[in-house]
Amino acid sequence: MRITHNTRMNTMLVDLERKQNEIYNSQRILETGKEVEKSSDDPARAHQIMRLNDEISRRDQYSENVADAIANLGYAENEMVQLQDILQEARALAVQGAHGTYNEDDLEYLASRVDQILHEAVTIANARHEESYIFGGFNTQEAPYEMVLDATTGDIVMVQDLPSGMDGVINRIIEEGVELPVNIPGTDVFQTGDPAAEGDMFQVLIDLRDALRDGDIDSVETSIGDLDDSLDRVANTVTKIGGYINRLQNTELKLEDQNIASEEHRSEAQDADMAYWISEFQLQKITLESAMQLASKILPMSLVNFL
Amino acid sequence: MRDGLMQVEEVFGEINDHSLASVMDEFFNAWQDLANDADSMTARINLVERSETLANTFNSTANGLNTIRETLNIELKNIMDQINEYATQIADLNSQISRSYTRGQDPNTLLDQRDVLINNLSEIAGIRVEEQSTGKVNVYLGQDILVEDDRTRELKWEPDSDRGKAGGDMVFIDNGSTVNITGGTAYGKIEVRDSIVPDAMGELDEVANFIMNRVNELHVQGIAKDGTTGNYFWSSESTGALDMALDTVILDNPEKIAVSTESDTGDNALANTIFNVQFEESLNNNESNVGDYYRGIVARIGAMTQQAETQYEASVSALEQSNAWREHYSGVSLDEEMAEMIALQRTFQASAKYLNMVDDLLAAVISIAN
Repeated sequence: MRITHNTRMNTMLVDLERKQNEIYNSQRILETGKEVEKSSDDPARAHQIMRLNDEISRRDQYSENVADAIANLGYAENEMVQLQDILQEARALAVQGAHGTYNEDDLEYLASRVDQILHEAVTIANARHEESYIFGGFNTQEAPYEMVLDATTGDIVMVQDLPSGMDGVINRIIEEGVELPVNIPGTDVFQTGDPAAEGDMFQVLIDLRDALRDGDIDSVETSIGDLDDSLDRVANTVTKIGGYINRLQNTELKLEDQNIASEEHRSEAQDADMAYWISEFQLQKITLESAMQLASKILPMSLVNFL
Repeated sequence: MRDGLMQVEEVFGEINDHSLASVMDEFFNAWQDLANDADSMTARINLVERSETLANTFNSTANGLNTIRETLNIELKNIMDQINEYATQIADLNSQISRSYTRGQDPNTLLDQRDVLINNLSEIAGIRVEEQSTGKVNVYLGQDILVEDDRTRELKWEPDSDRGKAGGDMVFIDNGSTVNITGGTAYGKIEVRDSIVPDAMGELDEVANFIMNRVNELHVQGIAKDGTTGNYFWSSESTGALDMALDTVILDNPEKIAVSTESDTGDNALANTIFNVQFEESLNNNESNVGDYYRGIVARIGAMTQQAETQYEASVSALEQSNAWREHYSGVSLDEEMAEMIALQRTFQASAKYLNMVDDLLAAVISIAN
């Protein structure tokens, strides 16, 4: 091929531009530390990175949900353990009363202690966590249990729950497609809706208090059985909460593991091997420099200079 | 083509950062924050903000795509003016060249000028050139003749009322037929303006409409914090990505956001259902969920851009080769010219020497005669 001055000039320009482009590319990778930034850098990897970004951000959200659920359930668990303690005390009082060896004053003392326990139980039933009532089902903004007092004595004669939503179950999404309850509806523990007295923990305590006052030993004995039913329900609930929390903690660990794996995966797809790119950059720099030097030496060469 | 695609890719943003993909994630996550705290106003306000960001990102992406089309449209109009200009000049040179030939002159300069014009014209629009025996050339634009002898068929711009500022065609003034551009920069611009960008826009609209319709469908069934029902979440007047917006009532009254189907407090079931909308595989013939579908759009544009880039590189190499061969045949080498000049100089010197000799000889003869 005949090589003219123009041929050399054109080739040189195209080659220099190509080298400048290569250097610009390496420079960008070195500055950002990322090999894939735009989809066109590598469409397949970009797609993968976007999917991983998506998964990671969603799992972060699930982790938040799980942490929130653990906090809620932990709070409910504490309340339930307290309830267990006072119900056991009430049972012990009932057993004492049932001996039949106590005089009227003693029984009155036991009755007043049971009355205190009744008040405590209502307080627990109306417990709040972060501004929300936790045993009211969907009734989170309104105290779910209301004491009905005797007009003259001021004693609690019954405890009334709210008309609707008491059995509402609130769920958290803890994994894709997996929901778990994070509340204990009051109907599981305090008032099951069972028309018999043993389904209503407050009524059991009211009956016990009244039986002790009246010295009605038979009724006191019935109350012991009813209290056992209530204690069973509380114990079952504590076990259930424990199970939920356990499952949530496992999920939390799983989510963390999955996110670590996804982040590694993303880093593999996206991050630049700096050592490789630094040496690549050095090489490109040398090539560009020598190409420029060559250009400055060869391009001015012409026969004219030697005539 | 390559430049247009790169612009489209830019509009969709980098794959990390605050691209539409991450804003979409944040929107759905905000429903979970609200589900975690169903009675909270803070979580509601946060959701409103996330939703507005999502709508704004859709708006600006759609706007960006429209701007690309409008810019390309203006560029195409300019290209048409250039085609007219070049065609007129070529026709003009055609007549000058043929006159020179009839006068028996060699119109080298004029031929060079015409070559440059044809070169330029072929860069902006695909043309075919036919040389006539008279030295004139006929230029075809696609299948249609553009320059015949010394006549030019002028082009005019015909706006398209449907596509507004983003559309319009080049037509021949004489018969009103649309110009079929088959190559050059104009072809790439038309491709991007009329198919690549509208396709991307259509898909973007699908994503936006899916989110708006599904969320609204669920939301109207829900009970808001203030006990009201039947509220829209997204504006019912929105028709796509360009005008995606929150319902104005929701915007001003976040308590109107419904997270429940049973109670105005506590219950969060609806917020969970709306969060799960992102997993519904109802796009792309019920094969993709919204995230997959969006990622598919970005990946496809990326792949097209990458392909255009490769083709561009390849054509730069091919062009370089062709230029080198053109230089080989028609280029001027200074060295050759210099060498030739020296040879000529030597011949001249030799002739001069010869003349000198003859002169000397003649002088001698004359002196003898004297």
